[in-house]
Order: sequence, then structure tokens, then C-alpha cells
Amino acid sequence: MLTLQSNKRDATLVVSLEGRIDATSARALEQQCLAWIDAGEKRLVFDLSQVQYISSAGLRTFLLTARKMASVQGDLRLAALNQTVTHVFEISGFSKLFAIYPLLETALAA
Amino acid sequence: MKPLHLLFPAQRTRLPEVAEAIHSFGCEAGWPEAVCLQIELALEELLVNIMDYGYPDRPPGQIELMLQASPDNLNITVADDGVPFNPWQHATPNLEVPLEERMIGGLGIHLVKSIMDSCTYSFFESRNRVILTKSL
Repeated sequence: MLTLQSNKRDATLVVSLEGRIDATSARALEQQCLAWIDAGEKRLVFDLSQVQYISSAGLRTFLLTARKMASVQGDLRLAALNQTVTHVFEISGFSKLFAIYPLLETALAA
Repeated sequence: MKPLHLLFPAQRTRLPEVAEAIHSFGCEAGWPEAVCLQIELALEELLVNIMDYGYPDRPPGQIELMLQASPDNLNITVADDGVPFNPWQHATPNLEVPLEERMIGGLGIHLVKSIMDSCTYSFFESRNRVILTKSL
């Protein structure tokens, strides 16, 4: 189960996710993210503080979203990953691919 | 502790209830939350592989899942009658390449190998059997 809230802060779309980004929920998230970029969003910050779990399906979602964002010279940031999610990003090598910030506020200020 | 034994169709719609059962088993065994989530992750990756690729030209069969835990050891067996497939033969994806070149294939299996201490595969009497172990 994954819930999503988005709100615009200046030019940035802040996306707050809560729950699990798994094989069941990742596809809908991916479609939403690609739709935002199609609609012209160029700055996405994901607040992952309430995400307990991510699997390779969720990593795929962030990879595809980041690629699409790069193709429009946009900016994608991830914030507030918990220890479990951080571990998955590390063992997959994804921590090197993404701009990851300890807190939402630092991601927005950077 | 009594083993967890599940039998379910190889369909993605069954994933949430399987994850729930694994989580309950882990809680009952007294695993830290982080360990529960790692085991859930390893099994999601394996099960999704079987569900997506195990039955390309016939209706999904049954997956059998068994978790046996002692206070310091976990032993997991996953068996299915889909096409023969050894997940551990997959090459590890290159984790050093940039975003544009990163491939997603094989990543799930890489996560399983990273989480578990040992992963074995056998094919016998038309069944794939994967055995995973982890020290707790």
C-alpha cells in the first residue's frame, strides 16, 4: 500500500510518499511521475520519510523517472530515506546515482 | 518455532497476502523490523520473477514457500513448476555505470544475493527449487 501527496513549493513539486514501493505499487507511481514530467514539471523532490520498504520495482521507478527528468534537463532529488530504504539504495549502487538529502528541508534548500 | 508453509498461485495479485504472512512470521519469531523487511524484499524479488517469467505459455501454477526459523538461523525454500530457471546464473548488473546506462534487469536477484548468506538452485522432477539461508 502506497499513498502519495504532492504540493507545489515555488518551482518545485514536493512528492510525499507513505507506505511501500513494491511490485504492486511501483507501476502506478511510475506513471504518475512520468505524467508530471510530461506536464512540464522540472524539479521533483521526493520525501521518503514515511516509506518503510522499497524493492527493485521501486528502484526501477526512480531510475526511469530520473532518466526522463535528465532528458528535459530537470532536477530530481530524494530526501529523508530511512535506514532500511538507504540500505537497499546502497546495495543496488543507486545511492551513487541520485541526489539524496537527509531531510526534506535540506533537499529544498540545496 | 513452527515453520510457515504457503501454497499459492503464481499471480502478482497474491503478493500482498504473502508479504503479510512473512511479516507476521518474522514478528512472531522476534526478528528486528529491519530483518523482516529484508526477508520480505528477498522473497518479493524471487516470487515476482517466477510470476512474471515462470509460466510464459500456460496458466500460472502453484508456488510453494517454506520458512523455517531457529533463534539464529533462517532457512527458506521456494519451489515452483514453471520453466526451468536458475536465478543465480544471472550476471550481476554493473553497479558502477551512470544513470543513462544502468540496466534494471538482474537487480532484484542481486538484492537477494546481497541479503541472504547462501542461495542454491536445483531442478528436479519438473520443479525449480531455490533454497536461501541467513544467519539471524
